[in-house]
Amino acid sequence: MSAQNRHRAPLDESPIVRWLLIGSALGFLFLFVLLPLLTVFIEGLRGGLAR
Amino acid sequence: MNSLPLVSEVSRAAVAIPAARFSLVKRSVLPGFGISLGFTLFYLGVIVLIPLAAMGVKASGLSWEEFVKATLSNRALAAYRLSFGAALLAAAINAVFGLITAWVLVRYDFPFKRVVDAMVDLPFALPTAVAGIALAAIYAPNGWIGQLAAPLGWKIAFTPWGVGVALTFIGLPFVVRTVQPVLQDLSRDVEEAAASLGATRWQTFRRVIMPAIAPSLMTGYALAFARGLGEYGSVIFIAGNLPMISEIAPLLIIGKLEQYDYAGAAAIGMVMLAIAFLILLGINLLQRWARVRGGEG
Repeated sequence: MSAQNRHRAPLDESPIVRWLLIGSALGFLFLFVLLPLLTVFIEGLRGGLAR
Repeated sequence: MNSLPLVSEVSRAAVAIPAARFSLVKRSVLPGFGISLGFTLFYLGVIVLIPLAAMGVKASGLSWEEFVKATLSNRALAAYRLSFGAALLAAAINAVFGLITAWVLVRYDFPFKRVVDAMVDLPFALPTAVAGIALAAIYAPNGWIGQLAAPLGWKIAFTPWGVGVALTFIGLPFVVRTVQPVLQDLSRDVEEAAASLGATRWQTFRRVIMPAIAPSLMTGYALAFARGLGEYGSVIFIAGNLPMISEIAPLLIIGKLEQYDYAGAAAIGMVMLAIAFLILLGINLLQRWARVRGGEG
């Protein structure tokens, strides 16, 4: 019910830390890898898509 | 049938051991040390040492004054500062976020994890010139990120920061791919032991996990740094290449080559090689220290 139930496993990080880590990793990859890749495709296909 | 030659092999080895006692070189139990060492040295010689020696020979065509003039001009000094500074900074950014990325990929589950894992290798697959143009388009003052940064007074593309962005992109896979397997193989037992002894999660990370992965993290850092130092293709599109401000040393070398100043180009190459060697040596010593401290000594 109380504190006992909310007690997390000793080898897990708290959910906040976990989502912060996942968020920063994904944010970093988005900024540095996905965005350049999207640019390549968007710039590459721009002429065709506009038609 | 099969065991017969094996037995004779073993007995021959047993006979050979007493004789080895008198040789100067300590004999290894593993066969083929001589030929594998010979091959390693030959291979390294052909692929690495001979080209480097040829660079030294080219540079030796210069007199001392010419060498100093080529390598220690203000323009060259600014280029070294930018090249080494940006490579060190980019490798540091990659060390932090690469470690987080490797950790997240090994320890947690989230949607599209496999896709994200595959995405890490993309900087290797994309031709560097394409990467450079794409990054320049994004971080230019009218690009997606550039126009967000411009009102804040930040210019990224066509400044030294642009060089850092390009080198961060290029070096990204190194740290993730060196740390990831080590983290994967790390036994959870030691973490359980730490937890049962009353360590908090952060203490366990600092005192137990970090020492185990530190050597691989440094390897990744060194690889990312070395890769960034020699990077040319992606940087020249985003750097703007202003002499004294955003001109990297490899570009200076290309400039000299285009003027048929091979000796001057080789001289700058020698200086870069010497500094890079010292930095990599330092990282190596640090790594050895970390390995001993991590208990793998």
